[in-house]
Amino acid sequence: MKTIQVLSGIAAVALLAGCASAQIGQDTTADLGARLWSNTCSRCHNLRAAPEFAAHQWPIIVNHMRTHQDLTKSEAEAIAAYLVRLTE
Amino acid sequence: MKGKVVYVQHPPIDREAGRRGARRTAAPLAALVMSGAILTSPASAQDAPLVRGLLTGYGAVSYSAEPNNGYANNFTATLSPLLLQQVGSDILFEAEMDFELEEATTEIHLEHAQIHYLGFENLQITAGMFHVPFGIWSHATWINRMPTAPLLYQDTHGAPANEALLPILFDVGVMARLRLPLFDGWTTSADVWVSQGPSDEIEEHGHDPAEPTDPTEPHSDAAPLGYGATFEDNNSDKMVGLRLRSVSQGGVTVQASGFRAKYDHDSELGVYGMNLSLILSPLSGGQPLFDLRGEGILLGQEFLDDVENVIETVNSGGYYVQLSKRFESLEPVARWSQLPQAIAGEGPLVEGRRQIAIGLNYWFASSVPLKAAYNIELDGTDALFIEWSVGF
Repeated sequence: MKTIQVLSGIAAVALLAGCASAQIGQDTTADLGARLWSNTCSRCHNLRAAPEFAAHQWPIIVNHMRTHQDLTKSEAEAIAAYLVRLTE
Repeated sequence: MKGKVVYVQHPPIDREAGRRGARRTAAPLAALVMSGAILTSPASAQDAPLVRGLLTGYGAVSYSAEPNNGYANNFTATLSPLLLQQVGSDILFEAEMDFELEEATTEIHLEHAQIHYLGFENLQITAGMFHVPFGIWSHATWINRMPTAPLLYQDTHGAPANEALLPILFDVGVMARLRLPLFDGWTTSADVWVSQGPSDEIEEHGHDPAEPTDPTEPHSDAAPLGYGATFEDNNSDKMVGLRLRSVSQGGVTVQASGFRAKYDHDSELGVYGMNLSLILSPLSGGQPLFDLRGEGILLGQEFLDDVENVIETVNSGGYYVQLSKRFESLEPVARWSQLPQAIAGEGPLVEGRRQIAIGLNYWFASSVPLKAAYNIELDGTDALFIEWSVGF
């Protein structure tokens, strides 16, 4: 189908473009949480400010978000720890 | 903005009650995972995992009007509470209800109810009723940038998508997501699922949508299909699906998904679907510079040709492209959708449609948009939609 062929071509170009923006270097855990929160969460929706939820609620919300994204257990814990720090 | 929250803290779990509950679930795999999690948890009551709950969700009020159809117009309102219940750090139960005001009646639907096991580093396991990972269009009102779905999808809670290609797919079964260490700079995952699948036995309230309202009009030989838990499982076959998704740190998402299933009582007629999706949303300072996204769907449905008495296949499909950009609190959005006509036997299974949607959103807060959109139907009736939604 022509539509699928066009989208496949766009996807191939986007794949090559995405490779050029790869993150270089290692983050600390705190940096990782901040970066993942900023990059991952804003991909689908506006970022919710940390004070919108209490510290004990953020781990639950981040786990809920993990089920919609491709985060590892460690990455989800880093994001949750970052947001908990922002609320304290 | 503080949302309304119910915080619930329970005493330590009755493990025997938990095991009985696990055996009753429809998915043997989920029961195995739950049993393993319980067996590996600490033995003493003082070390039992803490159960914490959170009530969140979203609501919306909407207005629609058809200026070229006698200005037919309608207000409606919806509430979608989402319950999140976490056990320890590895088990999450979530369930969402939809309460919708429709023609002076409150329609209540269970949107999803699922248990996740999140104890593995790179693997997630889900059992229950879940959003099938086919395509990228989702349901939550404050997340979508348009008040209406593109032509590919119709929000009919699993019922046949009479004016679209598919309902937003929710189904009951088991799903696993595995993070794959591929492509430096890209996050890649694979989802596999087994679920109830579609059915052509969709009579509801004495009405069978498969029956043509006007017998003199040419009608499709391929039956409209209902998906998911909305209709009783009519055969022993199950939908099997796969999604591959890769996301770059530069804000590019590429996703391919597909499913197959048998939909008739005798498991002789099949349906398959393929989806290719792309999102370009480069970030600057943590905010998207713009959001460009599109999906293409191809469906193939087998049907019995009444004249030739052979099994034929009708292919249908469609695509959309949507662009939005944020300027402080304002966000203009534009979308093009197209559904080519698909003929099955004597009549159309899918009516051809083309739509241009132009919208403008105003964001009161990060989860509170006021959205207005005008849908220009090149093959039908134009319509205006206004939606004010709140995510809490």
